[in-house]
Order: sequence, then C-alpha cells, then structure tokens
Amino acid sequence: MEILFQERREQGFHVIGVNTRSFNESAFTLERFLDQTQVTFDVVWDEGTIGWFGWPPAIAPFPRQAVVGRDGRIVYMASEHDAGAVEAAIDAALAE
Amino acid sequence: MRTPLLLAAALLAGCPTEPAVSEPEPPTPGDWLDPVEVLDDWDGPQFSELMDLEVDGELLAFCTAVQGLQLYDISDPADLEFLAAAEFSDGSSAYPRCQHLSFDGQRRIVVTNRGDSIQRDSFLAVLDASTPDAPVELSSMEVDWSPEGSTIVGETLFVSGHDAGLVVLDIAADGSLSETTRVPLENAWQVRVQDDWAYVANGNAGLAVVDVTNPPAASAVALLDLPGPAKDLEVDGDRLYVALGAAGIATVDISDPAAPVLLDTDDTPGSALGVALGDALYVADWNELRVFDVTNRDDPRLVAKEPLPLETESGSRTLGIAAAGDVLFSGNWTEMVSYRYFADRTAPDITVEPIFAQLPEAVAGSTSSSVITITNEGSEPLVFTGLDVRDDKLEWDGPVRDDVLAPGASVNAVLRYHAENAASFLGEVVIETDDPDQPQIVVTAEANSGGITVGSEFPGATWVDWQGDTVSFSEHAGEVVLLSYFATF
Repeated sequence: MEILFQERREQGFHVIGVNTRSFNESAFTLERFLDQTQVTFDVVWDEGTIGWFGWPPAIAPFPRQAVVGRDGRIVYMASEHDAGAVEAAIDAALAE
Repeated sequence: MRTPLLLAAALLAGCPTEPAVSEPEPPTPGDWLDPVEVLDDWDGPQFSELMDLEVDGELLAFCTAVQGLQLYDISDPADLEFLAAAEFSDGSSAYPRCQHLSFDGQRRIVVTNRGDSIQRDSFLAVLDASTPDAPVELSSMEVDWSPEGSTIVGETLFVSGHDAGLVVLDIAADGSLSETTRVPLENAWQVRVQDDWAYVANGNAGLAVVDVTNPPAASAVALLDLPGPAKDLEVDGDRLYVALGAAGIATVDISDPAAPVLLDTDDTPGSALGVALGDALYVADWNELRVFDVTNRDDPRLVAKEPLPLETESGSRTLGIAAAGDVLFSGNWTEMVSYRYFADRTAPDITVEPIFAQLPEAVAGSTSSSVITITNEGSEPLVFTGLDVRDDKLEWDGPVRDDVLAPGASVNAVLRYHAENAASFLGEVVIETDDPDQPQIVVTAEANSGGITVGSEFPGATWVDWQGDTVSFSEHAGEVVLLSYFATF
C-alpha cells in the first residue's frame, strides 16, 4: 500500500489506513507496527462512526478495503485484500 | 463481461465427443477422494488465536494469543492428545501468550513474544519439554526489541527481531540466554539456518542471507528483492520457499547462498503467512491451506487446497502451519486441526470468488449485476451437479447442472438482481459439484442493504490519527482515496 501511495500521490491519490480498535488494539501496538512498516500515509483509529460496523454485512469478513472516486462515490469495495483488483480500481478512478 | 466462449471451450475440454444425432450423455460426476483430509481437531482446553506451530518427532507445540504454549502428543495424528499448556514468568499472567517458537532437537523450546495491546512485554523464554506433559521454564528474558520467529542450532539461538535485525544469542546449559551480536536488517520476521547460512524473511526488504560460520561474527552477505513482504520461509537443500503475504509464495535458488536467485512466484488468493515442508510444500493462506508439489524444484505446482473451518464472521485466518511428511497441522482462532495429504489422489477443486456478492444499488424496476468467477483448481474435470437459485428475483447466467469445467479452467457467471423495490435484499445461489471437500458452495448476494456500497456516496468521516491529529475525509475532496481497514496482527 505504501508503494501504491508513493507511485500515485502526485496524481491525486490518498490512502487512509483505519485501524480497527474493535479488536482491542492499543496505541503501543499500532506505533510498533508503524515503526516496523514505516508507512507515510494517514493512519487513523476506527471509532465506529463509519467504521467496522457501518459496512454492510456482505462485506463483513476481514480485512475490508474501499476506493472512493474523485466524485466522492465508492467505486470499489472488497472484504479480502486483492492487490491486483485494488490497484486496477484505483487506476481506473484516477483516469476518470 | 460475458464469457460464453470460455464456458464452451471448458465444456468441450471436459466432454467426450458424441455422435451428432444423439443427445449427449450427461457427464458422470466423479466419486473423488479428497487429496487433503481432516484427521482430527483439538481435544484440549479452549484457546484463542493459534499463532505458530512446530513439530519435533511425536511432539507438537503451538503458541496461542492468551492461553500460552500448548503441547500435544501427535504419535497418532488422527487422535491428538493434549499434554500441557505452559505459561511464562514474563508477560501477563492473565493473558499468557507467545507468538513464535522453535525446538532445539533436545526437547528444549524457545518461545518469543513481541509486545501488543493485550500483553505489552516483549520476551524470550526457554522451556524444557523433556517431560512434555509437565514443561518447565528454564529462563525468561525481557527485551526492548520485538522478537519474532527463531531457529536454534546447537547452543546458538537466532531470532528475527524486526528492526533490531537478526539477533544472535547463546543458550547456556541451564537455559539462560545471552546476546552475542546483532546483524542489522530492516524488518526481520523469520529465520532458518542451513549449513553456515542463515536465511531471513526480511519483510518488504525481501530475503537476507547471513554468513553464520562464526555466529558471534555473523554478517549479511546478500539481499534479494522479492515481489511481496517476506514473512516466513523454509529451506530445502538448494531451494528456499518464502511466504510473501498477498503476493503468494516465492521459490529461490540458493545453490550459491551468497547469490540467491528468484526462480518463480506463485500467487495465492489469500495472504500467505506461513510455509512448512513435508512431502510437499504446505502454505497457510489466510482462509485455506494450499499444497504445492515441489518435485520440479524450479516450479512448485498447486495440487490441493483445503478450506479451514469458517466459524466466525471475521473469517478463518490462519497464521501458522507445521508438517511432518504427509501430515500437516494448522488452525485458526479456536481450532487446531491435523490433516493428511494424499499425493496419489486426484480430484476437481472448486474456487468461487466472491462468495459474498455485493450488488450495486438497484431502484424499483432496475437490474443490478455482479460477476462471480468459478475456477477448477484441481487435477480432474469439475462436474456441476446442481444449481439452485433460491430467490426468483435473482437470475444466474453461468454454469448449470451437467456442465463441466476442465482442470485449470475458469468461467465467469453473471448474477443479476431484478429489483421490484428499493428495499434491502439478501438472496442465495447454491452451486453443487463433484468437488470432494466442497460439494456445495453458497453464494450470498446482497443489494440495497442500507449501508454504503459501490455507487453510493461515501458519507465522509473524521478520524483521529495515531499521533492524535484530526484527519477529515473532506480534506481529500477531488482525490481518489483508498480506505483500508486493518489490524496489526
């Protein structure tokens, strides 16, 4: 994801990593994780507003990803991480 | 995209030629035996989150998130016998936990734990399991770095320590540990040692090879970029197999350890987090296990896959796998399961993606559709024995009863929802085949669920980031934004 972000940020692409607090993760864990992965995009806490439980049940299995297009509409949503599909959706949205 | 041609080609490939005048005989569904069979599941105390597993002869040990280390007698892998659960003097007594372990061949076990939300302390502990139903902790050492996977060679312990690199320690006769050196590496997850070389799964930095001829003077001699984050690895003579997360598995030629060469990459549908070698290469791939034949050492070939029990809404992730010959062990949140791989069995093997189809919003009188891909990943033709669309508002434009999908072939089905109104909709399509371990697959289709979905406007949100600053979705208006929900495990 870091590579996706770096390669496309100039084209108007942003990544928000939402950590799922519902799994009882602490700031300590997250900081350690971020130390290890050295990501530069936004990493935020899911406080349940549009978070874990706001998604429809069919997207329930973890993890879940969504791509929002320039017009603010969701163009891609998946319950499993599929690097190829995510990348294709992002590039299609950037090309619009 | 519609693919009638692809289906027709698949049908031709799987059907015998018939005289033009007579009705073709329907294909005969195979009476296949499953190439990977469940032998037994745990009979011990309840646990949550199986992490890493290792086998030492007739002893199996595995780490759990909150019930410490568990030991099993696997002399009969079809009748697993619980022996003991061990706790550690460091870490939380309320939530005894370890993440990785290794055996020294003398019935000593080293467990490692990196700190996390439940149990903050990172530590290494050495246990004596020579009396496996009463393991004894010999030593424990808290550390200020983040230990992950390890390997023991004689009296030397090699621990991958994320950004602390490869940490080398001495194990004294009494089990006490003392650090001798560190080899700087970016993000070490796992280490395996063969001859005078340590091979380190080094996260996004790929594979690192360390000369350990003289362990206190260990130094990195080679780095190899890999197409995914290296999380786990196994060494087999002049070949090395690496789990690369979402990128699958890599095969590396290490006939010259100082100059490793990437030979092959095999993508997997899940996230490959663990590999184990037995009669085949076994891969823990998130919701399922995958078995690769490595007879051709340059090109692993998928020969079987086995779904893990899906007992929770969160899926069935598996982090670890261990093997001995044709027997393998893995598990998920609450299960530890033994399996046997039968190399002489051939069978069809169905994969359906997605199992949950999120259909675009549909207003009254309109139709929304979603593509479902069906693949036969097995070695024999897959015969469809039934197709049940369990709602008259759903339409299935894809393979039906008596269709055949050749080994290796894929077909796209289109699932359409004809909306009579804008109310939320949930329907099912049941696919039945002669796949021996998944004879029935239920595809759930959902539309107009009221939640946010493809095509709907993202409602916007404001979050607090990990450093305490506010991040608002509206800051990125006009940009393409990837929202990725994750946990650190």
